[in-house]
Amino acid sequence: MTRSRGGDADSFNQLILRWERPIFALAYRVIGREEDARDVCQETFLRAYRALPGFKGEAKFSSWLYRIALNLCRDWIRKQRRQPVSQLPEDADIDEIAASTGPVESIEDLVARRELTAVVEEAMSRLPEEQRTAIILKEYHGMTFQEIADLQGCPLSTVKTRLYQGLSVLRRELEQRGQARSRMVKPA
Amino acid sequence: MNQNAHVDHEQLLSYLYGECDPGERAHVESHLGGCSACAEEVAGLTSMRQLLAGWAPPDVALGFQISRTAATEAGSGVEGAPSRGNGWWTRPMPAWAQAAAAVLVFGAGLAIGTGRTAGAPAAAPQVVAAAPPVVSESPLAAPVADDRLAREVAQLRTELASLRRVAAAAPVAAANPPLLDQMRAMLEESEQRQRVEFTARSAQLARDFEVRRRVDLDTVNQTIVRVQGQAGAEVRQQRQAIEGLARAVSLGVR
Repeated sequence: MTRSRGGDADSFNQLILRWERPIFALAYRVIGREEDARDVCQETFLRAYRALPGFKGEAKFSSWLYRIALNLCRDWIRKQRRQPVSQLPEDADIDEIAASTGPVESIEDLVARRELTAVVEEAMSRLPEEQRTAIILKEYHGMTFQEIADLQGCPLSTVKTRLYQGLSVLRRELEQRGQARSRMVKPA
Repeated sequence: MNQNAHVDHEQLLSYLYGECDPGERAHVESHLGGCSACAEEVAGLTSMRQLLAGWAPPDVALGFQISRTAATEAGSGVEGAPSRGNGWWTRPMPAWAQAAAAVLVFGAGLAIGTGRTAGAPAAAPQVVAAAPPVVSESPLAAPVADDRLAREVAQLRTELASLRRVAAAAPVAAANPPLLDQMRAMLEESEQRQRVEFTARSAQLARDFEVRRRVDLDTVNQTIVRVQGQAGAEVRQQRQAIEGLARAVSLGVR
């Protein structure tokens, strides 16, 4: 970080290497489009590099980076003024996808994703942006309630309310589509 | 707290995500044991989280990096490229090259040092004649405490002195200087070791990948069989329901 703040591009590239995948995942889930998520991801690192000399280290670097990315996602959504759409082709050949994606993602993951992606993405796209973002930050980026509250600039109780309402709506929608019924977990 | 009251959603979420203290956790678990509504709520949210866990972004090549021109110019940009590195000067130097460079620098320094401190040229042959490594009487060797290091320093100094003598005395070199031959041998040996190590690691990676691929394929086959079974059961249920409905309708018409 210290070298990066001094303008060392190679050091910053090491930071990019560490954070590009999580930032892309965040942008993709919020926006729902692969190419636009790549653009947001790229712009995030560009802005971060330019603003790095002013980063005082009072917050975690990851939180600062996430804030830049979320602001860009918000700007994109407002600019597009439309709901994100699912991009996974319904008739995609699993073997072809597996061969093209290489050994990083298992075929089991691809099968699960094919089944769930279209439904989950559509359901998530119907949620208000703040609820969707709160769920994404909690479920996929492991942030605490307080960290999400700091990122979204709202009280802790508001974050929990957004999470609860968002999850409840998702549950209702997916149950109606019969996705959750067969996977209901028996109470302990 | 009143056991008849339901758990509020904030407590529920804290419990669901494991962010409550032990006392609160115990209270929630105690309540869930006696309240089917809250237990079903927790089960439903847990199921929902399991579904969400299956939603993954596409595995695409990213490889973003700040370009060198971007780092220095005002109109900066981030390149997204599948490969990293702009040129050979950005790649890390292999260990063998670093070692060779260090030997060259060290040898050059010794040559300069011996050139300044050496007296008549006749002193160099005396050192060269002693083929086995010997501890030099030069003042430079005095601070060296390690005997082995001192011997290596003396050997290098001897070889460099011979190089200077050959270059100064003979217009045509009879053969390659022994130092260069030794360095070439060291480099070749290092390269060979790295090739062997790289091959071994590549083979291990290939074996690991093959094992993982087989495990994943088995898991996929099991999943497909299970899904087909579930789908078949649902189709049968629906068919039965439709047939029952048709019978009821026909009976009603009669």
